Amino acid sequence: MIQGIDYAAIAPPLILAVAAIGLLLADAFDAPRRLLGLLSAGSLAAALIAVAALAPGDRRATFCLPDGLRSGGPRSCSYVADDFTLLFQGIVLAAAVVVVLLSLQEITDSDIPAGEYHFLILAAVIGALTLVAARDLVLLVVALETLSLPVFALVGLRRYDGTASEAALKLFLVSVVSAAVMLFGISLVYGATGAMHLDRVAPALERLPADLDPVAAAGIVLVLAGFAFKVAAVPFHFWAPDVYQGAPLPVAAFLSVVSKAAGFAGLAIVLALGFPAYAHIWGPVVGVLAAVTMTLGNLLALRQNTAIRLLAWSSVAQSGYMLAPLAVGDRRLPEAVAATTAYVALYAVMNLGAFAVVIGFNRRHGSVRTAYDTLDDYRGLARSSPAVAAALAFFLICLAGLPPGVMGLFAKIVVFRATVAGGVTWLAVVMAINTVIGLYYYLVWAARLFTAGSGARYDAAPGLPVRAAVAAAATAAVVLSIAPQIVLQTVTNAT
Amino acid sequence: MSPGHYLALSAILFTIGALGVLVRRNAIVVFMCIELMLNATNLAFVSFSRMHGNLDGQIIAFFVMVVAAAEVVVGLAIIMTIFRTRRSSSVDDVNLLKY
Amino acid sequence: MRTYFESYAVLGALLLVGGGIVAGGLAANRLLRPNRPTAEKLTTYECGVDPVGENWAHSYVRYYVFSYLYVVFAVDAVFLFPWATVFSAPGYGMTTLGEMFVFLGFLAAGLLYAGKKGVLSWV
Repeated sequence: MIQGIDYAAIAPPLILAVAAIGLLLADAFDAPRRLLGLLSAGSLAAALIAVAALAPGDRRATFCLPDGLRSGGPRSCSYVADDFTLLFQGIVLAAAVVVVLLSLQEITDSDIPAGEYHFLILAAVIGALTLVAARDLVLLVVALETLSLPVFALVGLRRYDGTASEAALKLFLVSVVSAAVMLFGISLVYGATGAMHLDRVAPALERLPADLDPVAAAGIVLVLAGFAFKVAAVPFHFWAPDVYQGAPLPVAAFLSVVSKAAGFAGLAIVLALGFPAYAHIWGPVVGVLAAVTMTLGNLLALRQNTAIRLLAWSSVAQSGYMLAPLAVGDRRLPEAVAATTAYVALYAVMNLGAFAVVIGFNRRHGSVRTAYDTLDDYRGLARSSPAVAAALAFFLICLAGLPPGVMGLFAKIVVFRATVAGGVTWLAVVMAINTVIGLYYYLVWAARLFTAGSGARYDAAPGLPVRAAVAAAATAAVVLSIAPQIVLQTVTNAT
Repeated sequence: MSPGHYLALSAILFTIGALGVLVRRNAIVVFMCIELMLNATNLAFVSFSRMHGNLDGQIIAFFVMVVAAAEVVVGLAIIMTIFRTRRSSSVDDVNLLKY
Repeated sequence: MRTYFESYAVLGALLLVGGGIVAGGLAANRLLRPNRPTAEKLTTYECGVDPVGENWAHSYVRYYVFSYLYVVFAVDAVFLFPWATVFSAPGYGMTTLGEMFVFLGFLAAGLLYAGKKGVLSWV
């Protein structure tokens, strides 16, 4: 009766779990900070290698229902490492490596406890890796919480800093309430279907008696609410700017890339595998959420004058674009999921790049952290350090979706095409208008880099790890701009 | 007692919790309301589990309990750090971050 | 079902009677007593000593991290219960026992960390 466990399938999270425990104990026994950073980045890289090794192999599934309990139903595995999972695990791990690189300097500067920081990052990444592999609602909830809980602590880790603990409290309250709402939704879905595994929920929803129909519909909308928080979609978006500003900047980058990518993967899994029978309910809901999210995000980004809040609102708006393809419902759903995945992958590269430059730039203030970088501080960056300015300008142009930032343009076109193909033309029109609004604030920021300096100098020494991160992101952005079809091919094969 | 009564109770508890989160201002009381919401979902899970005669609902109830405990601890720790700098636990006093 | 709820009727009646006695007593008191408040009388009664300070008192909670740890570890013990129901069933045995020790090992690592960080010593 004992179940066999496919250790190869769960290798990526397992490596990180062992490394995280080791790191915690190493910190307790006073290992030097440099070693801890190395261990953290090294284990992430090892997990990335494990994902790469799994990629060419077959679909692996583990923690399945034993034959005796299956009662003629499908195989019902909780953890599935298929191409979709591995693709998202790759995105999450690559982004996490960059975040760790960005953190090394920040840990020293802000006097953050290093061991705890790395441990919490690894724990959150484990949550993200499990979330994208989860195929039943129990594991999904547990993974979502494993992703969320360490992040609360990470946000508030800077000691004796009022803004950091405030940001942590805001994130915490919104997150926990949305988790409770989502759990209630799951309980309704479970009540209607009697199953937790998505491959059992989906057929049960298809032949649901009419009197249970409203129960299941309410449950599905409540589950959507939980994911809307994770990806910062509109009714649950207001934490984003405050938390990004109050948290240590690398943690903000983590929230806006890793946590968001995992949230989108979870959303796609639940909607496409679990609830396709109710696409007529969640399709329009997602469509409205997407439209409101991108519009509100863009309009509020227009009036921001600090770099970090602008990035926060722009990442809210970008969430809207990523949600848009899922509004098609069950018409051409695989295509829509592929479009969302492609957008998430491309967004991860360009947004991490922008964050990396802002983190390096923020170092200028040294230990005095009362003021945040206003956009005016970026004037004249092109003259004092042309390479960094060029990289930032390129990331911003990509985010705006203008040539030569072909990858951004390409991502927008993929999403646009999937939305139109699914017959949600009104949403495509809203997207087009929003893209134009978005152009304005990205370009205004990019243009400032090339105007005359404001006197504040950028001493171009953000430290080697941050420079490496900027360089890696810039290289990836350039490569993907030259050959964007790499992403689309990978994604289409995977989904 | 049919499971229907338990479900009604769970819905009522969840509503009280949600109202409390929206209305109350003391962070500790907001926490208690969140706990109420989580426990209401637990009650729903367990009664559905009995209705369907399978154990999935009871398993998730265990996980929800553990998650709730971990959340409370992290949340209280965050309130401690805020209290250290502000000497107040009212949500309305949390106002440093605005645009 | 009917009789089930009817059995609560006695409880409800008892609650009403109890509440009535307390409310009646307070109301009678209110009607019979003279009421002449002065500023002196309205201050909070504190054993005849004038009250000092605000209503928020700052007390130093020693050992609170320990209680946090207790909450987490105590609740983690719920996983022992489903394990205990199948542990002795045929087909489980040593492997199942070993798995539980892996779980406990993770918890112990947390305690070890807390102990090294000085959380478990009285301050």
